[in-house]
Amino acid sequence: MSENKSRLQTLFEQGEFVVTGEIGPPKSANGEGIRKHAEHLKGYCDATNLTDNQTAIVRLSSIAAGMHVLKAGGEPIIQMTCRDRNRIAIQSDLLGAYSLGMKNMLCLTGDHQSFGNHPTAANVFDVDSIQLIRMVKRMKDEKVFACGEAIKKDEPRFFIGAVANPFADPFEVRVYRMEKKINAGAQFFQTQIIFDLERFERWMELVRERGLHERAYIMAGVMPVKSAKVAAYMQKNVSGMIVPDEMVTRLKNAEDQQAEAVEICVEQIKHIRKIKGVSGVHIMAVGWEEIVPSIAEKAGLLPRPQAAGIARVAG
Amino acid sequence: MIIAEQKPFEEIAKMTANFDKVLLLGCNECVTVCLAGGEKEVGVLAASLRMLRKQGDRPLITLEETVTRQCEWEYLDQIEKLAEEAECIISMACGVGVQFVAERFPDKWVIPALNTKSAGGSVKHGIWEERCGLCGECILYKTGGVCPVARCSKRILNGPCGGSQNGKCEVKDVDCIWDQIYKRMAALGRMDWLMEIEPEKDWSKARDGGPRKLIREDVMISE
Amino acid sequence: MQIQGIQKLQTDENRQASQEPDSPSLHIITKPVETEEISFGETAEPIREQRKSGWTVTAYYWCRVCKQKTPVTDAKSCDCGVTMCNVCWAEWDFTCPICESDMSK
Repeated sequence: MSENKSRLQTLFEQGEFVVTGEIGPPKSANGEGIRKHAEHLKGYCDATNLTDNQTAIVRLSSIAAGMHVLKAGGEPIIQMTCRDRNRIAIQSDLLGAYSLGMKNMLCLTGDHQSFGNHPTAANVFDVDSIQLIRMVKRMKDEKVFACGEAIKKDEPRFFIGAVANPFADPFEVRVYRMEKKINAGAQFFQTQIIFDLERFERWMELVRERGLHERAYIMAGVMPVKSAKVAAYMQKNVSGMIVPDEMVTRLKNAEDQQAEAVEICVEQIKHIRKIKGVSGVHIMAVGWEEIVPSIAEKAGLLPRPQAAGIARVAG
Repeated sequence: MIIAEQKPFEEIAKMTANFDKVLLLGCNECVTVCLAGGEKEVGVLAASLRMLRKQGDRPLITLEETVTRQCEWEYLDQIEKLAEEAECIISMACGVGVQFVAERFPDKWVIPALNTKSAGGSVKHGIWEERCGLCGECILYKTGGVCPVARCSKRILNGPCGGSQNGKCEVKDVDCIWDQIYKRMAALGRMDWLMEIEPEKDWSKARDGGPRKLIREDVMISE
Repeated sequence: MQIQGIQKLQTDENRQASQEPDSPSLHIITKPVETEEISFGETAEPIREQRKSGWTVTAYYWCRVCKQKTPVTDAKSCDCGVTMCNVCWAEWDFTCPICESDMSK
């Protein structure tokens, strides 16, 4: 019986090196920009993440944004955090998203609200990301809600994603927690943005040592850094990320910083592709979405493969 | 113990502005230990309020008393006469004390002088930290005696999240408690326990289940 | 019912985990790390403000650069998510350091 799999999952199973992008929904009630971005990424990315009020700033909802992506002919990956919803709301939203044709989701704990634009808000954190992953898996495999009650028909069958951050501490615990996420039901991973390839490689060694790359698909997160200024800002002010000095210097000394930025990102992707156990890249071009096609092209990621049995060209 | 902190003086002054004779009521338990509402603090606050009002044209008369515990009727019975004399009672106890005072003296206006912060203890002179989240179902045996419910900013039960940096939490200047839990479990040789997925918590035993009431028939006295 | 389900799931997972052939056992390597003392401002309180709709409480933003709570009126948040107080924005010439949007307005 052929299961109604997502395009993303099919490509992983075909053994393709998968490319995903990311769209941050706007702080407004207009989906025009999302559709434009989705159309723009079509043919360059296999699927697109829709962030869920990232950095705890109120934005158009990830599921609604996913609908705009679907309309534009793309393949959405719905992000779902535990910050704003309890288990009732999460499951309800997942039923809704699946009913609209969204088949991939990414489970996150979510940024704390103190970093966002409503720092005095109450948070929820009824479940954490690992419990969330298991909840979605149980809905699919055991056909039950979190409470144990049977889902009589039409259970949501999401392709379950999770995140891993090789740059947070304690280092080894990152790998154990990833394993725990796999045990809970995570099928694919997207990592935090990687600049420090050395640390990433060490981390992948630990991942392989525990055989995790054979139990889930791992996508490495990359970000084209537009200028030396952006790099310097991120180096100093974004926690959970390691920006090497060489990168800042290289950008600073470049005649055309943007061209250099693309070059660096392309080099990183080519390097990452060679690391054993990495199944794809997740390109997070925050504030520079229009550059993704040219990065995909230069990194030799084109043309994007077709997923067997799925006619639609996704993005 | 319950940790509390005195409200800003201006706020207390504003709340008492319409009264001429007040009773400042201290509590000899937790708030004495955390230097917020004991006998000494009662004296200081009373003097400050009097001095402030002396500057205006409406002097304030203060009565001062500190009871063993404000959260028990029998200790409040002892101040009945004093309470009658005052127009309002400024309770320098935690939120529990304030409410017991209000219930015991229903015809008196009661003002809280403290902000109740947490259930915890002093780790250093002048530093008090939260320790218990009062979740109603203790899981400390699973986490090496370190509580993620009270001490993780996201109260996650399968931590640490990606915001753990150099043993610190990215949300505030506190230790990442999951970092501590891992270190402790490693030291105790129980790391494998942490690979068990901690299931969704039963929050109905916490505040989420509505106000909690503990009934023990074995110690009830029939009247 | 639910507890049984969860317990069953746990045993399944344990079995799954134990089937993993040569997963090395868990350990933590302690590394010396240089920690930087970070101070967090806790002083700014939410501001009560009278709008057409009545009294509201407007919050503070947390400046990502100086790590201080800043009243919303003295801070700006870019569409891409970068949030800073106006003093720090000035240091970046009111141009977003991530997406280069103009934040001077």
